[in-house]
Amino acid sequence: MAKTEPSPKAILDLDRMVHEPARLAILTVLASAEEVAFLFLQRVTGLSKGNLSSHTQKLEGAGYLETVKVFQGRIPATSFRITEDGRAALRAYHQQLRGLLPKEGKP
Amino acid sequence: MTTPDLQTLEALTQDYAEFDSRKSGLATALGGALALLVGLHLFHPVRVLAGPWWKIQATVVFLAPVLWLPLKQLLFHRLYRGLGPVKVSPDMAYEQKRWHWLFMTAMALMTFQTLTLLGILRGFLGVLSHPETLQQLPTKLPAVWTTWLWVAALPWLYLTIMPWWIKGVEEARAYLVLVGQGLVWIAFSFLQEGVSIDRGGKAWAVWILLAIQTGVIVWAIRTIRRGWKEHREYLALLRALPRES
Repeated sequence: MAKTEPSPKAILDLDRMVHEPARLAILTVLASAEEVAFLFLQRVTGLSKGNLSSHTQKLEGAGYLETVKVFQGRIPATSFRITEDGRAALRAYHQQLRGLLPKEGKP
Repeated sequence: MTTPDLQTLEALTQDYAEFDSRKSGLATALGGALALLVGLHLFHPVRVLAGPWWKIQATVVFLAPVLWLPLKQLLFHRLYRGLGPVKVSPDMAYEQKRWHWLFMTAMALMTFQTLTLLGILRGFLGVLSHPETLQQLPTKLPAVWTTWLWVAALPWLYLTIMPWWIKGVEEARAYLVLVGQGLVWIAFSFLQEGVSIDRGGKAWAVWILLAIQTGVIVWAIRTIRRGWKEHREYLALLRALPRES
């Protein structure tokens, strides 16, 4: 039996909350550690402060990450954690994307 | 935006988190350097309980672990926390390994304390039953109460600060070596005074001390090299981060 090609609908089914490059980078970083400081996240993703804040707010709204506010001495510091939903969404996105990519050897 | 690919992002985050929670870089190297200094110092062929050397040696040997802890914390905050804390993903196997080393330190300290206290008690009871032996005691033995205080308080001091200040296996190992050097030294110094090694009695104690110290020195040199290598890895990690936009 011939293998079925992914339908165009599968492309449209991609989770757009994860698909956006900056948010994908943020979720990838958060999935690699338990808790990540704002400053490190900003440096590693190369995003500006405003951009990072905007994307993390969207991800938090979607329930994919949670913000942790702590005080280091008197200085307030912000960290982020990926939620179980966020981890599942990232995993699902990877699987979907792998299914959409052409098999090796094909253009 | 110059965001690296996803695999690089993962690797950079995990590497940075390792420095936040496990690796110590120059802090480990500092532990090795202190162990090396103490190790070389203990090779000095003096009768340790005699003269002002005892106090100097005691201060150096016993303060080395206590001095190392705040210094390594300072190095950690100055060198490896520049981009804020990043907690590493939990790893039970690693945590067990870390606790294994902490447990070994605790066991060494408790064994030392029990044996020393029993020894002191035995000596005290011996003097009580044979008061004439009092005059045979070495005149330069430290005051009994000072010894009691050292023996009773120091292991607890070492143990109390240990779990909160030591973050990884390398640090736990360095702490055990630094604390162990103190224990070996005090056991040896009592033994040396008691059996009068320079009159040929029980020279094996000297060989044991030399063997232990040689092992410590080899370990210290390797630890300094490893710490330096880790530090260079950290600098490479910082260079690999994208430039701020």
